[in-house]
Amino acid sequence: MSIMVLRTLVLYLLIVFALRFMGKRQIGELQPGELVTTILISNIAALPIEDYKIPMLGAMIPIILLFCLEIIVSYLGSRHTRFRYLATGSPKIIIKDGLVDQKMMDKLRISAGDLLEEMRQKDIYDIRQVQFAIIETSGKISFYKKADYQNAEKGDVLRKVPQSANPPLAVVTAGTIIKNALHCCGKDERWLLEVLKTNGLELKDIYLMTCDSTGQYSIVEAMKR
Amino acid sequence: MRRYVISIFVLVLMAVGITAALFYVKDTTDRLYTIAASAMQAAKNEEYEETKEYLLQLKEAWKQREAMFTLFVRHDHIDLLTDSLAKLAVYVEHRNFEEVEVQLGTMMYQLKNVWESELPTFTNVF
Repeated sequence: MSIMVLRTLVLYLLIVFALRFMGKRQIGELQPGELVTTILISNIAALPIEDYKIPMLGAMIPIILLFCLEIIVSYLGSRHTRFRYLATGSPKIIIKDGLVDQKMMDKLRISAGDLLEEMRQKDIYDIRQVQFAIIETSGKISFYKKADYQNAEKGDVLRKVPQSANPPLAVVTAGTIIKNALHCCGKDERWLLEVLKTNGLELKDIYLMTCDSTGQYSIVEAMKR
Repeated sequence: MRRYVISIFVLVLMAVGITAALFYVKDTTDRLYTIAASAMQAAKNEEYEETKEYLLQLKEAWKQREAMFTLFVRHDHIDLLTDSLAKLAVYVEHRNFEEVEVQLGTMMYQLKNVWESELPTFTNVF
């Protein structure tokens, strides 16, 4: 019994340290790979507690290995967009310009019922209010309402309601062009490079660039390392 | 960046540690196997003093290595080896050379099994 207690204590401390080191988010926000890692760690930790014949290192080493790999994958994902897409997938647009992309819904195996359920959780009860919806890599769906249904802000008082437009999308991250997003905004690479040239920047200087369908863009320059 | 570097360092350390552990297991099992083989020969020739001497060497070698072994080898494998040694002591004391041979043979198989089960082969992984 004392062995069980001591093993549990050691593994508990190890897992808390590992999760702290990984900087984990809540369960509902985890990427698929992170969710797998979390589940694996908890299952592996249970093994030497249940079976005394398994040496402690038989659990500690896989746990340490998993959290090191998780950090490496996260780091590489933050530096290289293509790697991130490979590891975690990319967000997918399911509603654009107020129209549901049924092909994408079928591809992602999301039913209309699932969509409506997600909408209700965001207090949206009418699909006609939705201008744009994107399914994140964590599986959550983010909604962007049409202008008429958006909450008023201070700057909106005495101002005419603008035409509904799709929200800004990230077109460059970590120096990599996201062609799908660029195309979604109705722009191309030539336009992008011209914008950069106008601003005296190169692709490698860009940490994040967003653009909307009206051509409004914002640029966050990469920090000098 | 810092955590990334630490993770890489830990992975490298892990790889080195695992390789060292494999060599340690190989060295230990080889050493015990050699002594057991010599003891087997002495038992075949029914040489009591020589068999007893080899048994003492086995016990001593095992005593030196057991603590480290428990860190990375399944404890049931270790229990089997400890059992075998305990039984050997009794058989040697009673000059029951046939049983000594059987037990030594079993122990040699167990040692070989311990080493083979630690190897990262296709069979072991899958």
